[in-house]
Amino acid sequence: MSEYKIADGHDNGGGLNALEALDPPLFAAYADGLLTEWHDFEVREWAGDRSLVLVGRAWVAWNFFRLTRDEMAYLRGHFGSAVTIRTLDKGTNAFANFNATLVLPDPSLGWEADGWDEVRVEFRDLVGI
Amino acid sequence: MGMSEVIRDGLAADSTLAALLTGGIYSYAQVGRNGISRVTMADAYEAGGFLKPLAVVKAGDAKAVPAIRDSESGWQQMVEVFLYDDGDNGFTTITSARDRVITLLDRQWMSGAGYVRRIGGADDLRDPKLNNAALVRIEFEVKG
Repeated sequence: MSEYKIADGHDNGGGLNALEALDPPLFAAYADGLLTEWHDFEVREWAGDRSLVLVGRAWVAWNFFRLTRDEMAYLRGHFGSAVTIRTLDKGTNAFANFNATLVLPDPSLGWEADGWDEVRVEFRDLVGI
Repeated sequence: MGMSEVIRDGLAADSTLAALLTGGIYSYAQVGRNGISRVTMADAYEAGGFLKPLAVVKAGDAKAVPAIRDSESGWQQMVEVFLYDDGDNGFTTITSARDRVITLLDRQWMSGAGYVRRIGGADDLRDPKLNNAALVRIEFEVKG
């Protein structure tokens, strides 16, 4: 069972479901996990004393090598912008639950043969819960 | 189980494909050191000695590629599916089988194998070692 989980709404740890359990057989390819990008901040800015200031909250991107039409439709139809996720925090090297803002990709990019290749789904404004 | 066996089993489970490839679906290892013959693969031949439509799955080069999961290194392996028929039967049956194989494998996640994608192939081939049997080749890459 994948450790990468998602639920609609904030503070919904009790509703978290593994990707492959959302609506089988959708997302079956991700039962063993997926590739994520962990970011500790939104941007880095130079302060007046030439130190780097980290601006913004942590965020993570989930990289799907392939999403079918049905899988993309499921994400669009079942989740609003406010979600709860369980993902790997690469800063602490541990899985944790977060409130997040879901940012789905532009559907005009990456379309091929009834689906999308190399899909990047972002979860912004991570707040640990 | 090797990659060719996993792909073979996935194809063999499809009744539509099995109905087309009456000579069977084989992994490269099953073909033996001397290739397809009536001695090693009797089920691939009719009683009169003519080759039936069949498939052979052959795994090729594997290499490291960027990962698709946080927990594992990425890898990629080439797989070829060779479709044969008797030289006088033409390409109709194995062309239909080719289309079915592509439907079953292209852009599909196959448990025990990985993400399969068609990357090439060739039609209208002949195998001189099999009395100029009709041959179609399909190339796939499998990522995991």
